Amino acid sequence: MSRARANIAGAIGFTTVMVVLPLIVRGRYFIGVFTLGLIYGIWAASWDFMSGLTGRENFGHALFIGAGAYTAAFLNTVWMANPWWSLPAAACVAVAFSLVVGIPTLRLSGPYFALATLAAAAILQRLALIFWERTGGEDGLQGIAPLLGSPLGLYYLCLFSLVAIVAILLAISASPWGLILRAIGADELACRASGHNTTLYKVVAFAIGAAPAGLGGALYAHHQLQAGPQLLSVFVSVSVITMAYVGGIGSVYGAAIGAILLTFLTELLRGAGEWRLLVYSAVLVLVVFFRPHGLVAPLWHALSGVGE
Amino acid sequence: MSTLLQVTELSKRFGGVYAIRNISFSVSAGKINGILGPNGAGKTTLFDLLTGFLTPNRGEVRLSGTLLTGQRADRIVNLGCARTFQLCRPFAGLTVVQNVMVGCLAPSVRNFRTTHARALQILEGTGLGDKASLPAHALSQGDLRRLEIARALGTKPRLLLLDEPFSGLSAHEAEVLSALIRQLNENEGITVLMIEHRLRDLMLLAERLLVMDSGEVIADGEPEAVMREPAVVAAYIGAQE
Repeated sequence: MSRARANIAGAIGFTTVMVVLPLIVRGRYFIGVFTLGLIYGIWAASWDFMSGLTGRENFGHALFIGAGAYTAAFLNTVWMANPWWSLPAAACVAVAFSLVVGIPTLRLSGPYFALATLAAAAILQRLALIFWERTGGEDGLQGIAPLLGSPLGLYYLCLFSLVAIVAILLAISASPWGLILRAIGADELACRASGHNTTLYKVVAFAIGAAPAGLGGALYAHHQLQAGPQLLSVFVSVSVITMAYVGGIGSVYGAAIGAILLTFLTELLRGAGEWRLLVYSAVLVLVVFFRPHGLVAPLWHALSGVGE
Repeated sequence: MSTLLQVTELSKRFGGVYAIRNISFSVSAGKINGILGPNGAGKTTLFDLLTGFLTPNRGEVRLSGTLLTGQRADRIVNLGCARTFQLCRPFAGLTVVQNVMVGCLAPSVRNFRTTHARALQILEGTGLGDKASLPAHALSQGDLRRLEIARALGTKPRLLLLDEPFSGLSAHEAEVLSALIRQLNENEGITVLMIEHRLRDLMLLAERLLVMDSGEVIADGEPEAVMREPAVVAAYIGAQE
């Protein structure tokens, strides 16, 4: 079997497993955990698209996630808009934030971009607390209407979103456009010497990655029925990065699957409370040390290449 | 023969130190030109100024009359001036053919339908055809040098700047590369400006030699004549007592 066919078979196999999973492991709690895993999958895949391919690490992905969630919350609870408007609006707001942060910082070399993304998420989180009368402060905005009548319906909507987003991001990364992004990740200077406006590529990739993150934020808000400042925290950004690293950086699909697996692991560790952060850090350190290319993507690469 | 590159009173200062001081020269279309000079002479800085990786404090660079000074590096490549680097910079995660495709995808020359075929054609021409599907980092030093040239050729340059292309190559690899550079010049009509320390290889290829020392051009002309000039002898061997 060729690698391309193996990849298609793998994608169908994964989707099938995720389709039947909530039918086998029943219960509202488990469906909630699986839905959360899929949303984290969207966030990790969207982070990996830009940062994994170009090597410019975004330490503030929570900015887009939180912006998407608050957009959904404001639209639904303040302006009483139909919940379905949340999804495109959240993606658009996240893209707008990505342009504001990305245009001035992605042209610079060094750590400015990473610091700017980190600071931008922290600033938005602080603003959410300062303007507590409008944002709900620590508690966030409550009472968001569900998108669909049943948790299972939302699960399948999230699964559809994840599969569609990963398919789109993989198609872009396999295109000539994606080749340039990989070249930027390998050696940005040499890429400029090959005639490419690398800043433009990075800004557009950042915006493309921001859109699904915002959409995922809106899905999260409609899943939890609230949007709070904790979504803008460093913990969320670091979790997403950890998931992408564990899955396999630069692969997109690996990041998504890594996110799902780590979400399940997190739920297993729920009793450990704040120690979860330590576990996350330990997992990241171990993976970086022993498997620098991650777990899921290299494993699949090896398996799909068998017989070639 | 028409002038392809015109450099006028170019200067570059880092703090109070001049890396390039008031350099002027021109390059005729269709020739192989060499740049020679001891370490710290300002040769690579000159390349960085010509290709937009550095901005000069004074002076200007024109390619066929078009002002290059102040343009972005990628824009300069799309105007027809490509370069290689002193240390090979392959795109390590990509295959050999993908490396060349990155060059072929430069906005001024790209054709999405033929990118792969054109990259393979360039690899055949540079002697790397059988290594197209290998990862770039698996290549030998000699092959990496050719890959850098192949990637630059993807952008269809009129002027090719080579920064120490023979560095680290065996005698055989240098011979192969020399033949490639001559072929590109004679068959493709590409003008070459190359920095090189290996005098023997440079003298065999260059039709004209520019010698730099301490950020200035100290000699310019036919290679044999230039190497006899007292200033060049002094810079390389030391002044006579």
